[in-house]
Amino acid sequence: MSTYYFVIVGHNDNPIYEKEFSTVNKEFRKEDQRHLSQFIAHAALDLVDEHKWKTANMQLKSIDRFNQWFVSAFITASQIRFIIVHDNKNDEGIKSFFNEMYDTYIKHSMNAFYKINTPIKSPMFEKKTEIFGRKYLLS
Amino acid sequence: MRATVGLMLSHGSVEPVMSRPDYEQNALHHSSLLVLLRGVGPSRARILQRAFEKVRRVNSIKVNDSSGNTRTIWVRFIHEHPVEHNDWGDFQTHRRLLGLVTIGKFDNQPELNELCRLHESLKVRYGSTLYESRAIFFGPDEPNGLETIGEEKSSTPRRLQDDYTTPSNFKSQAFFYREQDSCADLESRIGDFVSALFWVLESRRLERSREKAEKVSLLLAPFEKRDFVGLDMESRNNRKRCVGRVMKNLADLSLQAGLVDDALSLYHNANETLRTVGDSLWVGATEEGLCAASAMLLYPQMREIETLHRNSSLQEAGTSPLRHTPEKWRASDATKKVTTAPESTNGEVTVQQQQQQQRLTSNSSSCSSVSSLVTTANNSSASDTPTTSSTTTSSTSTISAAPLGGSQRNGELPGNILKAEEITNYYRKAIINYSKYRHAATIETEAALKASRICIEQNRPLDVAMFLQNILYINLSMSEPERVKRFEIITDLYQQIGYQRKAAFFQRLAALKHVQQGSQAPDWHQSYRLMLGSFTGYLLCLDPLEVVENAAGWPALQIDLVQSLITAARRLGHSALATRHMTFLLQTQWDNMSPTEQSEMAIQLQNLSAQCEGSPVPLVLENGTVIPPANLTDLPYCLDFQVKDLPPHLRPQRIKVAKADSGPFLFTPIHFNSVDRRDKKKDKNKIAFLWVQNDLSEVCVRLRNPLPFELTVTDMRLLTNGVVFESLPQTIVLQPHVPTYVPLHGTPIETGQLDLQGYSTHTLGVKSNCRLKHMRGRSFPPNYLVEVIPALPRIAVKTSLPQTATFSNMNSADIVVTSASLTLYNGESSSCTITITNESAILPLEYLEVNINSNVEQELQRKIFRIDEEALQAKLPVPPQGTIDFVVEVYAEADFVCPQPPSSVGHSSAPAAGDYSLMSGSGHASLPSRVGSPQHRRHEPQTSSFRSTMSGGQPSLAALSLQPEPSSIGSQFSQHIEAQVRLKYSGGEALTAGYCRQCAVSFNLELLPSAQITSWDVLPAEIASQFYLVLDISNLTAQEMSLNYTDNKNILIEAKESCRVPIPVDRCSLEQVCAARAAEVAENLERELCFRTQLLSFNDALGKLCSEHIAERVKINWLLTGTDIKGMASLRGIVLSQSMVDLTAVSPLQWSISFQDTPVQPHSELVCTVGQRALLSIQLTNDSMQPLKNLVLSIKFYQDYLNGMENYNLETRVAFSGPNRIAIPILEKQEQTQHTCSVIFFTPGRFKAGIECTTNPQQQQQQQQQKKPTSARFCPSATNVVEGQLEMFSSSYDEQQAHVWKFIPPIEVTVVEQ
Repeated sequence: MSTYYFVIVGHNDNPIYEKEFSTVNKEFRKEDQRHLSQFIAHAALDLVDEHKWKTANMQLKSIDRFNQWFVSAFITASQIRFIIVHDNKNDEGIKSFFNEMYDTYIKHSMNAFYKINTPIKSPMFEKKTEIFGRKYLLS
Repeated sequence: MRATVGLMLSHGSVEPVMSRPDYEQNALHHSSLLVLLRGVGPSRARILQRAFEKVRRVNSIKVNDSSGNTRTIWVRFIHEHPVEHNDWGDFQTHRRLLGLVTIGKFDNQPELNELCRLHESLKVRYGSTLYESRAIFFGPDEPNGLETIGEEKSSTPRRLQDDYTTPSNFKSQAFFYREQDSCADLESRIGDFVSALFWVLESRRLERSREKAEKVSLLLAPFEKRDFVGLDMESRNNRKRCVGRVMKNLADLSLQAGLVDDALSLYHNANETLRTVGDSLWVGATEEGLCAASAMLLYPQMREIETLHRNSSLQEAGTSPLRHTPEKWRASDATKKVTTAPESTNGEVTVQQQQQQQRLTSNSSSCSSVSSLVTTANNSSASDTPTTSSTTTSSTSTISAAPLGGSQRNGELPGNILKAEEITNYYRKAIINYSKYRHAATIETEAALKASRICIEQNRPLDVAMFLQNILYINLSMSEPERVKRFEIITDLYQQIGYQRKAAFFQRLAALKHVQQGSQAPDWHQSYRLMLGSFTGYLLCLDPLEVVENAAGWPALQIDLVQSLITAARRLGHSALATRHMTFLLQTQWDNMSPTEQSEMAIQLQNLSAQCEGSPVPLVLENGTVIPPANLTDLPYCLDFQVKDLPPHLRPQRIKVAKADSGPFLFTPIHFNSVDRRDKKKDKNKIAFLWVQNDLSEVCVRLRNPLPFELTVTDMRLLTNGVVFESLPQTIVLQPHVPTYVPLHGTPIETGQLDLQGYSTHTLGVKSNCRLKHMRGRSFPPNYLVEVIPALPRIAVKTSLPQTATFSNMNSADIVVTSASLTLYNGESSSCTITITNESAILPLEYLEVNINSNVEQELQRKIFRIDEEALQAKLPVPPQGTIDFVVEVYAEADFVCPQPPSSVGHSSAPAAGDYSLMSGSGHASLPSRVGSPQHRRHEPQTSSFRSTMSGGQPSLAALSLQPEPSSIGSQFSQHIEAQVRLKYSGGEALTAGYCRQCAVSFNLELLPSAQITSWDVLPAEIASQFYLVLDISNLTAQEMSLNYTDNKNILIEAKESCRVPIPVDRCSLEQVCAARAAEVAENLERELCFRTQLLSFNDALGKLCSEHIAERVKINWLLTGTDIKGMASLRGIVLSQSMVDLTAVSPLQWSISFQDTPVQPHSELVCTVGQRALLSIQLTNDSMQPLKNLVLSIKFYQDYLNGMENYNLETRVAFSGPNRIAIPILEKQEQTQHTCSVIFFTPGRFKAGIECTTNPQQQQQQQQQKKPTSARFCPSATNVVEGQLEMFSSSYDEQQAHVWKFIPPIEVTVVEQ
């Protein structure tokens, strides 16, 4: 019973990739849930931006919290923000997931046809996210 | 007590069991005396506002205590105070309400009584803690007249309290003021009041400090009462607890009484004591106290912020300049380092620096508030001269607006003060301690808020976030409004540290809480306000243009937010706002929505706007927020915007004027008047064409409807700037996804520059101004500029002829407004009346220029069309609605003569052939001296009569016949001529400005062939002054034609038949020939000199002359019998061969011939007898202007059988004595030559004598000399020519042509038997 909402946020606070992972069946998942996750993720950006200058790490760990939701973040060298809103502790898994996603993101951004800050619509990227999500977050 | 309850109810505050958190509290409030400042009686807040301000301004006083030290006493005025908060007064003394000030307004005694009662009831309510109270009463203005006021004021001002008396049970001290009183002494009175409070407090403090440690009672927090029931109070632990708590209480009092140093040490001690007994709650309290005391010394400016904040909030909520100061601090880390300087010895410096820093910020950031200025002024004076504060103050107390604890700050900071970074830790510890007690949740919440405010001051946003975060997890049972309030305060604090996104999150939460389901009284107004407030956090702003421009933020959240906002606005009943926000949503988030969402939103907008139509005007909310207009610029989506020129026939043109002389050079690099023209070129949006005032103009817009349903756009108009423009509304229904062209019309009312900015629409119930500059993603210029010129008249044109069915394909056919068609036979004349009506209502038609363009050559065109320009100009001007007409004369000009083939074969062969015919002697009955003929004949039955008896396969000249060339078809088949009568017209102001319009009438002229001259010849007439022009005329019409060829001769020709007519014509006079020769010589000379081009031969000129001569004299009128169609065929363009020319022109040789010594008369009968010698004498005179050279005179006798046969073989019948061929080398001007010979006829009969004189070209003679003279081309007699004279002749071009001059008519001799 855990849900993860993963989002990559661009420089203008614009989401460029969103993905949800959940062990809960689809019927139980509510649209509200996703919406709230978006709001929480957005609100956490202030803290991400504060923390990113305070640490040399890319992993920002769990930086924010709202009710039962935790917000973990990762910041890339180009200041792209990876955020996961989750409702259970899984520091190790999230850390690995972030690292793998960073790798994937870097590869994707190497694509000459991809413009930074624009939504990612690659099926390959989608597939990789799916794999890593299942491997590190839901296992 | 009843009154209290009544008051409580009237204020609508039902107090919860637990005290409400005081969200506004900060650490420095620990040191303030709490005073309730309350307006009583009927609400007249506005009137009393000034009094409130004055009271509130007294936030601190300086008091000299009994030992002579100056103490700064702070006051905190609050508006409301739950009574049970007083219960926490033992726990933290600053929670206790010490003073009460009421302000009220009365008009009469009963009202005053009521005010007094309210004051008293408040006193009763807070009686347990209240030290002192004051009532401020504002009475009515002096009832007397104005003049008496002046008198009385000067003498003895009438006091209010003399007129009105307080009830007997009113025990408080009251101040009376008139309503308009300046209340000059109010501040000092409040100062006195505060000092009174201080002295009571001081006495309490001293009392407490003198208590014996063994005797102190246990101080309790309200909820602790039950916990200690039955406990051994005398135990060692409890004793310690008692002492510790009392010590803490004393510290609180000391802090309030301005003894910060004492308070600090007492807090430390109490903290030590209480920690040992594990009294967590009170340990927390001491820790908080320590923080408060330290903060008081470290951050005195926090009070100012509060003051400023409060003041500025009166002016404009939410935009306090200090709100953004944390951002500034974030920018500079310098302050932060100073603040967190670890060395306590540096404390003084730190504080001073900080103070300066603060001064800077307050100076720079807020000049609006008067009190802040006062504050900073005091601040600087206090800090610069610390001693002055004590010397200048009176012994009792001084009043200052907001003095700082100057003496303390400039002295050494106490050693036990908490360092800046320790404060956070202590607060953290305190909060942990509080959190152990469920009932201390309020205290905990407040502590967290105080801590975060301190952290804001210290510029530690992460700590602020941490404390604020913590607040959410404090399990505090509170009412929903309280919860909302909590979110709002969190929002505010986040905003202060610049965490806009966090702030927006909580703001939105608060907004949702206001209206959440199950809420008794959903406050949509608050919800709306908060939603709007959170816009910045989501990177939205109210102006759609800016949002679209930035294109930042999280679209899903933005859409959600705007939708909530729309809901709130709708629930508020403010449908204009709802419509506006919906429009905003569609406009800004269109690209971020799926097609279904787009259509859903569009339908929603339609529903919303049904209640209130959206229009592009700013909306102003009650709180002054301006909602800028939102326009649906891309609904429908504009693909194309084209400014259209006027229709071609209405298009204004420049009237061409003769170019001003700009010097002797054709080209000059200096542009005299083209500077502005160049500038215009740079103007990309400048339209090249012109619009005309009062003329309907058009812009074509291509629109696409992006919605899946039909979109109705009504009232679509052009948006313009500049000159006045009347737009015509347009309504269209756009099918989904189909680009549609929409014409938008309008009329410029003035002249000048028109600025087309876009168009306005009314769709989905929303009016929008769609400006080109706001249409993104298309390369539109921001506007289009069109020049509007003064009004031009308009005309309607009619013709008297039927219109054509087909349109002409001439160029500029687009200006044609009407057409006329006409069919004419060649040579026929007709006319067409063109009627022009001036259609304009006011403008006269003052200028009209007519010219004709056609697909034929100018010269021919001039012959076909004729307009009387002068008569037309005389009819101008045409008044408005007036009419003029003019006539176009049309003549069907055509070539009636078959054109000559281009080959010049005939030229060279003509003389030779002529010689042959002479030699062969075969004659023709009707054409006795046929020596030349046009080379071009048609195969017709008639021509067969020109049979030749010539042998040797030579083409017969007479029958020489060539197939008509394709190019000559034109005259035999119908010919189409297209012409345009172009009318340029203008009038009024536009004429002075040099503009006109052009329209055209298209003429379609069909020319049918009528008569055609297929062949022609020239024959000598009976008299020498005339010749016969023999024409073969064919009737090419389908009707019988009556041909009138001389004055009285008519002939009928059947359709498609032809006939031959002889026409006697006067010969071309010698003078004309001479003139032509002179002109030719001159021309040749010129040509030779200048151009060295090919020289004209005289014969060309002469031929032309003769051709014109004939054309002039011979007119053939024809009439189609049975109709009134008649015409005239001219012989213009007839081509004459050399021999024809010789016949046409008068011969240069004058013949005088005598036979038997009698001069021969024409047609005279000459008789001679057989065998008798007859003398033939021929005398030649050169009448021409030139000498004639190389002449050969020949005499030939022949017999004409009158059947076409002529017999020249008369060797057996006639004999000559003397030569019958005589060469005359030169015959000078006017020279005569005589030749006489005798003839003997051997047989009787009729004989004819052909006498002629020929010239031979010189070149042939030359050839003759070089070649054998056997060539058929040479004249045998040429051997007679003297060779030496060759050079002489070479100069005369005339001599190059062979001429034959005959004596006409031939002599006829009848020979009779003897």
